[in-house]
Amino acid sequence: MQTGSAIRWKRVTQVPDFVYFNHAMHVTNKVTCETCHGQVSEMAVVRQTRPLTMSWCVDCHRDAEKASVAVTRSHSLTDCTTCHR
Amino acid sequence: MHIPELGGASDLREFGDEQGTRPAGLPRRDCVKLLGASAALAGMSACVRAPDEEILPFVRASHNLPGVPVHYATSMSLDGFATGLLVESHDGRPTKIEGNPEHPASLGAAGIFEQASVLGLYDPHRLKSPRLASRKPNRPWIDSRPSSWHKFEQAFDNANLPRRVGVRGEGLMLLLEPTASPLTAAMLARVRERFPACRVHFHSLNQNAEQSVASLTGFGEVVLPQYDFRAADVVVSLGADPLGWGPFHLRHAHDFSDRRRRSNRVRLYCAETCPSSTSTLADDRIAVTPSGIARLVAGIYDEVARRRDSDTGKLASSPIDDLNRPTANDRPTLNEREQAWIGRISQALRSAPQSSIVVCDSSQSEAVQLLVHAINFELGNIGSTVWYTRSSIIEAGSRSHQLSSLMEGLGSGEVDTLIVLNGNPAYTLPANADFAARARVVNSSVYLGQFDNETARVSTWQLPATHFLEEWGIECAYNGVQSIVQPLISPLYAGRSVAELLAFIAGVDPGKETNGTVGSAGIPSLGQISGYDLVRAQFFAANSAASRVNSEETWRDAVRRGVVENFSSPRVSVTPRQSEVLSARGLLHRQLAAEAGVRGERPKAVANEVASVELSLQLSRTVHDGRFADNAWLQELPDPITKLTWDNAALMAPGLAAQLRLETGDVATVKSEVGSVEIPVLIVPGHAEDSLTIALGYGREGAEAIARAVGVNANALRSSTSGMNISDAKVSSTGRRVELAITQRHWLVEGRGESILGHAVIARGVEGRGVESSDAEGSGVDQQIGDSLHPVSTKRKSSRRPLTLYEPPTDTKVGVGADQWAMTIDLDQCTGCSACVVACQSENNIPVVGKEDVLKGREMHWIRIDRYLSDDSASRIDVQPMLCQHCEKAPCEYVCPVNATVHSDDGLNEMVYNRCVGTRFCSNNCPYKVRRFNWYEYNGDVSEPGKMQKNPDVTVRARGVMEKCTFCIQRIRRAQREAELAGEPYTGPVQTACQQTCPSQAIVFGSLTSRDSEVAALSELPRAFSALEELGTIPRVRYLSKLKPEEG
Repeated sequence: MQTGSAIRWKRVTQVPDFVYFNHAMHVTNKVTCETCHGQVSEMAVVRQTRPLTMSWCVDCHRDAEKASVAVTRSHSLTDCTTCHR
Repeated sequence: MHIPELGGASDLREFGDEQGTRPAGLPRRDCVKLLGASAALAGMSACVRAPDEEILPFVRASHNLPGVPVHYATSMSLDGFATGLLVESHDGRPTKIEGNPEHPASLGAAGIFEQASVLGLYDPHRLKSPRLASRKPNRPWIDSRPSSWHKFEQAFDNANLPRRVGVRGEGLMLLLEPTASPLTAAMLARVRERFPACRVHFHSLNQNAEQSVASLTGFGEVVLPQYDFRAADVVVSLGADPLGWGPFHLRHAHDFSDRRRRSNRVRLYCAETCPSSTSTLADDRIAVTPSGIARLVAGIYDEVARRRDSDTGKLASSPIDDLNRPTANDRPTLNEREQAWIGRISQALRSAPQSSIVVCDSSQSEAVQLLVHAINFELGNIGSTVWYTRSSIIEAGSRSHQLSSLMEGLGSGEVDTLIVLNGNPAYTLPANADFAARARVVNSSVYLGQFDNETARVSTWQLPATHFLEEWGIECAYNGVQSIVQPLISPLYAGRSVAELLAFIAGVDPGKETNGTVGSAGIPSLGQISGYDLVRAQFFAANSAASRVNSEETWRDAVRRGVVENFSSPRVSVTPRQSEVLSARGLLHRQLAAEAGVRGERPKAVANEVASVELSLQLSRTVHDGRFADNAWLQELPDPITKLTWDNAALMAPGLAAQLRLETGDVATVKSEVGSVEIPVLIVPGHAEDSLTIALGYGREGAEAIARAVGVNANALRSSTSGMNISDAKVSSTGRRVELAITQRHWLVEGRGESILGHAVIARGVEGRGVESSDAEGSGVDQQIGDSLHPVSTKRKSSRRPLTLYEPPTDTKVGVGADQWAMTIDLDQCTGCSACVVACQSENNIPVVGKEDVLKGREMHWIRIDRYLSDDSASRIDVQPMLCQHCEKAPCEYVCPVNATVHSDDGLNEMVYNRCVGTRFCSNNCPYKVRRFNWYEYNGDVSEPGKMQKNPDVTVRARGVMEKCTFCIQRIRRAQREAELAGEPYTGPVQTACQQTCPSQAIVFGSLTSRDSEVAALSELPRAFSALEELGTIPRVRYLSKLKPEEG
């Protein structure tokens, strides 16, 4: 930053283009950063530690649905259109 | 030439065709791709930059988050008048255009041109930098080389310009499009200050000069008629298309449907040459030739005037010359059919005193226009449903709007420098004007425009103009309400606006000016002129002049809302001068008699396989005067009535076609006095016999790759004196055939009318048309709807649900009461204007496929407008928006082998692109035929700038997958997400893109389970039905059938 040049970001955690992921929804519903990104604070080089596959996402969505973790919910969490539009 | 080498990464194989073969030749899509790819390589590195000046969002956002779209108010002007818009911007990229609910011309709706203009912004064929053509005298344009604004500035600077055009500007000629922009007016005034002798002319294909002159003759000043369709019980449209065309048509459609929803007294009568959007709602329509419309106007006037005389004895002593009073003897020669129609009209007009509107085609002669004013006057409409405002079009009605004066000026040889600001006169001027030759005579011609079109090609200087999404401006709506145009993006291609160039010519330096005083200290360079300063200076100067509050706050408010408060034209109280009306009547009668004489002598209809017909030239309903011809969305948008895409055609009635032994697709020769064209025939039931309609705007010959060679240029048939209606044209067959890309070839319901369109008749004397409304006036109607359940006879059961073993899907994982999405479409309101089709296209990233694929039935629109005609005379025209019906028992879902289309808990038929393997079973099993398949990598063809239009909230579909309407799932989920983030369950309304833009509010969307749900109430109305209900698919889209007054 002291050099005045922009940071050259490199994307580590990536989901495919047809997945719509909203951070605010997850954070508001008490899904912590570590759940998906892992313990970044302990990584020398940041890497992806979770599979981020559909089944991995859906497992969590199913559990949330059962446990009614979500504070408020207006549609099913396992509808395809929850993530794909 | 391999596409990948040119940068296009798309797969050229058709789905299922693994050999990679392509049809021979270079189809249009490839052509577009090549150009797109070359544009991409030419350094368009997607540099999205917000304008430097402060622009203000419509709804004040507390923060501007990446990925969260922001709406800005601006306005687009077409044919001189503005429509207020809200533009959705994703991270600095304008992606979608919607109507501004606060703007009087929009009321929240946007038409096809406004919406599609966002694609025009990213058009890869726009002029990218100034170019200078080198040429020898009297030779055509030979070579144009990249130049720069700086060089242009040097050539026309303070010293050079007066030397070229003279100190008083004798050699300067400006050619603009008619405009009501106060900023342009101010800048023009400044140009005239500097060059008092310069010539200024206005030209466009849609100039309505006849209207202005008629009003000047009849009222002594140029006024614009304003209509209040909310107060009109009887509307008579004589060749006009008030609900589908014109600067205020969105407003008219909104008001008309509002009135019609509340009252079953509203009647719409249409006389026209070719069926239009408006006539789809007509209670009574008659097909007549253009001269027939003039006859009807004369007939109605006589009827109305005679009644006035007989009704009120005292008016007989009015200053009307008794000799001129119409008598039964000197009436125009009307045939029985026309006579009967006039009889019905007169009766209807009589039953609605002071609450009718008579409108007529703006291309009719001055005499006809004036008589229509007089008819409205005689009916007592003026002051109630019709009133006048002073025309805000600059110099309307003056010689600068006359074609003859433009021709004179160009041919005079005194013009040294011709400056054309927007428009495309080389294309839109009549054939015998030969603009190209005249432009060559002048020393240097400057063209400021967006495209390298016909005019650019005959100009010395080609300067890139800004798109309205790139410029600052002040525009004026049809009723005089002013609005600020604010840019959403910095000019993509170094364009400058008309106002900026005018300021440069005038030597205005807005930076040095305070309150409109002229800054005389040196002429500024173009770089110093900014549209922002010009607009602000004009805004504050106008505010001061009107002695209104002049603060930074008013400015910010005007920019943010897109409407300048308290700035509309006042009503002017005028009455038509009786003497002029009577002389117009006399003139018209003489003309009609003369024409009838000519027609009498003319061999009746067909002789030697040549028919002699009247020809009506109209602006294209999809590409306007050709300015949108490079817009692929509009080229592929089916015409509301003919369903023709990618072409224009000679529209004719089945009778005439049979006489000439022509069929749809046969190429005919059409000859007028000045020229002839060869054009395919398209048979349109309901078209007037003995006449042809041809759309202008096609057959473009500029460098725009999409516009080029689509259709035929019918301007060749016009002469500078003939106007748009040509009384004698000859048609004959050439014996050749071409294929026309028509999206719906059949037009009969084949006896399944009730199953497709429903059936409802409204009884006499029952208020309301069975649509509830929540406001005060409507609540009375609500009560009566309850009472009217019996009088409204529907042959269909009103029960939504057929007998079934299965439980209705209300008990979901989310619980009882969760949203169940549904839609109703009121066929009694829909005009088939197709605004919804374009809205859907821009919201949902729907690609265009090109003519070849439309011919194979592969168009991709998620919502289409089906139209059905009752018979050969199209006495009834039905239009029906057809989209995925979101069936509760969806046939598509059962047959998908990979579960790519499934049902959601909230009642949506979901389409999962990443699961789809392209079996197309679902499409085959869909009874509504609304599923669309990506046969090619249609989206891979999108040029680099075109990609910026894509909505990032919707997947861009790849080759080999099925797609269809999602009920704008991205909007539903966003609304729910926002509510949940706020900690509340979602309750608010979600608008789908089609619903949002529908001018007549025919589409209602919502949840069946939410309280006070409008959609639930509507879908239980007696006239609600499901399309193909007998199949048991239980669609979530319910149609409200069109009402027909009970006979007798």
